[in-house]
Amino acid sequence: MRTLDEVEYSSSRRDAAAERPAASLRMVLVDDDADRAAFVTQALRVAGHDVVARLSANEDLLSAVRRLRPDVILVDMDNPARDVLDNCAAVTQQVPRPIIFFARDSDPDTISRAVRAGVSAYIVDGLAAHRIKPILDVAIARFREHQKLRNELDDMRTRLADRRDVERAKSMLARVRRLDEAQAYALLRRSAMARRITIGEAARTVLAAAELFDPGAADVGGESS
Amino acid sequence: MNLVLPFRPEIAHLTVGYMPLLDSAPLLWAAHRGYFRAAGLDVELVGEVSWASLRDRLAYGALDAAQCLAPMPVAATLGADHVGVPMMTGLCLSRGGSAITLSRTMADRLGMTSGMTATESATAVAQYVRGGGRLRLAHVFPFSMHHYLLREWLERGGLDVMGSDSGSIEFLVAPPPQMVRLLETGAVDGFCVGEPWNTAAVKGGLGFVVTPTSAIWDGGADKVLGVTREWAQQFPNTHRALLSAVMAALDELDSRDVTAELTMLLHRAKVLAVPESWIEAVLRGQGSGIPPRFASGLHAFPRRSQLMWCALQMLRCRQWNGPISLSSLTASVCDVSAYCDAAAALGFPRPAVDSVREGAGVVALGADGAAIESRFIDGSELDPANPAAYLAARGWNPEAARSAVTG
Repeated sequence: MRTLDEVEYSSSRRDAAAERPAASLRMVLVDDDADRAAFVTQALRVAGHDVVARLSANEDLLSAVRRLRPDVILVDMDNPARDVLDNCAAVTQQVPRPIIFFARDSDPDTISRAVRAGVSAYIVDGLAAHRIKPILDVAIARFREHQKLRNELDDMRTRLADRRDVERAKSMLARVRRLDEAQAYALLRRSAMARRITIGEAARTVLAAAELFDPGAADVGGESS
Repeated sequence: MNLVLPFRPEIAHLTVGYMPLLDSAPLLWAAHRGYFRAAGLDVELVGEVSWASLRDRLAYGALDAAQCLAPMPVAATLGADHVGVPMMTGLCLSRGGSAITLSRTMADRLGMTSGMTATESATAVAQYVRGGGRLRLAHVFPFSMHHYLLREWLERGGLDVMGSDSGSIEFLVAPPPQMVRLLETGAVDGFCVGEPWNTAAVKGGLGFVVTPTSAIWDGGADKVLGVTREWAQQFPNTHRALLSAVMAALDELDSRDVTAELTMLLHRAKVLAVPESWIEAVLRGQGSGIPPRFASGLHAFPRRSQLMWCALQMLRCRQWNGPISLSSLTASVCDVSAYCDAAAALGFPRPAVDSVREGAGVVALGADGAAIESRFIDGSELDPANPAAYLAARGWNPEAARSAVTG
């Protein structure tokens, strides 16, 4: 069984093999987020490592690990496959070489940062800590960067949607309750604070309620979307 | 709801991890009924997707406490989990509630019928293996009761799962929500998992429930509330307040019929992606459902002898290649004083001893003479004063057994 990206990854590996430094490690990424996997892979390649495959939680990881014989498996912390990999580590006789979770002597600060960033690593027993740290550092930095980019994007989307909904709710309140715009906005903000929700959420509640009472009413004064 | 507690939590805001399963109910119930707040705590419950990430987040401080598989704190303190951050527990959350299910095809081939005892079904499996048959069985985590009790069941049939029969039986791990799919695709012949996944396999016409794990050991701790040793030492009052809140929830789950409300809570919290009616059926033990057995009364005390049993299984399936100082290990994992202080604050009975002869049937545990039950399927016993005898009775060379378990 071929895994997700194995074919593509292997072919690019051949090109890189010529200038592979001696310290290069064979790595497998287990991440269902294709974007992030590509992002992390690129950084690891630049650092001189050999990413031989990206695997998904839904495949037979044990046989994939047996076949690919990686030195390090990097995995998204919130991947359900983590328990499967922990078992590969526990049942060492099932894999050709023992794989353990983190190197026993690797530095706890690095591990702690990795855990907080949402990345875990399974590492071949006996691999020196100083060879693992740079890999984890790259992965941690990339995970954080990717998360930040995504948050910014989500944030921007939310802010745009909020602004639109607040505008519509405000003008509707102003019309129905005969308030000026500033009063309508203050009312909306008070309601949001009292219910511990964001002003965007409060606006959407108002619009949803208005829609129930009078279909079409919520559109008055709003932009079409 | 008001709890009058003598504890002044050192920190109020806690992040507590759980796995979305039926037996995360005690934690959800404590939040739902306001017991955490009543104990002076502001608890944020966080659902995790795997035991491994729950353990890592707990070990490295991203979680203050977490629902753990009972063997997890033992493995952590021993270092068998390769993380090696020592953990403690002061509370048992549930005792059993899992079951062993085989695929319909395999159950038919083995001639399983619904009246069979766990011993009879294990014997049928052994006959199949002796005739050259092979079996792939899934469980949920290397350090889980599911794993150990699955092995215990196979051994009951006469199989030597670590020795001569090891080539015929393959154990693998799968996330619980994937179990039924694995059965459907034929990737496994059976599994040991908590509900509602056994019920789901039966309802889908794919599986046959062979036995609840409580028939293999009635009295084992299944899930516990774990914290790191460092955290427990740093925040002793917070730990006691947390235990009190969850103990109050466990007591209520035991003393009132809250099934309808609990069903709604579990459904609303999206704990399980199965129909609401299944959750209710399982909670009521209807059909082939195995109801969760929340720890109540003195069963909520995580006995050192239960933790010792877990450590002995780690030796037996070579997750740890000895020697283990069992008495210092279990003393360090079981937070006896935290449990006793929390119980006293609520006016609940306290244990008089921290270990019992596991498997001895009805045994006295409470300071008031109250008893609990502990029974192994094979009628054997684990005497906490002589763990080497337990290993020797399971085929270990007496000399090797004695050197594997020190003090």
